[in-house]
Amino acid sequence: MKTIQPYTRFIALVLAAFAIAGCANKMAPAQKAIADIEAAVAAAGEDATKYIPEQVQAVNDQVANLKAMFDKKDYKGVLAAAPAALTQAQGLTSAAAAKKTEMMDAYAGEWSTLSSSVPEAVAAIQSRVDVLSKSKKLPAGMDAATLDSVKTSLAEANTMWSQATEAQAAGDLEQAVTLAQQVKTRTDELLTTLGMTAG
Amino acid sequence: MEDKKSPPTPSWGSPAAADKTAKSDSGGTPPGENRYTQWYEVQSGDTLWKIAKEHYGDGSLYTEIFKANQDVLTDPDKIKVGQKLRIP
Repeated sequence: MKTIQPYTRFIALVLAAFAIAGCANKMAPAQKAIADIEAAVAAAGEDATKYIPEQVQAVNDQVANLKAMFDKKDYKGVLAAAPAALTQAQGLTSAAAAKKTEMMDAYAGEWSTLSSSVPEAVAAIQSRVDVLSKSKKLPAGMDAATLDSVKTSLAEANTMWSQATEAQAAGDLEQAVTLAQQVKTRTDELLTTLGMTAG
Repeated sequence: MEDKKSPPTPSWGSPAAADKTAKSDSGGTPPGENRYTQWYEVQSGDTLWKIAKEHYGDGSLYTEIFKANQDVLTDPDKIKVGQKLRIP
């Protein structure tokens, strides 16, 4: 026993050293794997957050899980799960670009429709307001206060429409469509107030 | 022209008036026409004065209707039943 005991201790120390070294060997790659995923998410930029928020959130959730595993020193687990997360993270840029293109196409179509119909609605309403402004006695269902509110609302609609066309000219199609839809809602209300209908 | 004192049905601004105007445009919006242009189909007994009174509350504004329909009207006193008129 006296000759075997030191030898056993030596072996135990060597094994422990290997275990520590092995652990340390996996720690750095695990750390790098997580950093790579975070870098890929960051590279996808704001477009990803804006156009595919669910996918970004899914990757961020995976990163959070990987970090939890890392904190528990489960480097092997991190290294096993990281490649799939990295693939997803690296796909965010192209997915965001595709979604952005899809949405821009949709905005362009919407703008095309609104940029045609809204000015016509505004012109028709303006025409009616101009005539009613000359009326000595307003028709049933209309009084001076209502006509004044229509004029005010129409002026606001005109201002909003100017902002929409400016946004469109500046290339901000999303803002242009958002404003144009607000003007459309406003003109629809005015048409109803004036007892007018679309042709 | 109809006498100013004759009482036209005061239906402007009501859903009934809107429907009447809209349904009179059974052929849809003509090409190049503003899709929100309001149309009225002339009924028997109508005059521009009466139509203006109905839509504007003031028959004297018939000239606005006449001006908006000079492609089909040459005389404000001569309108025909079935004619579709723009109501600006």
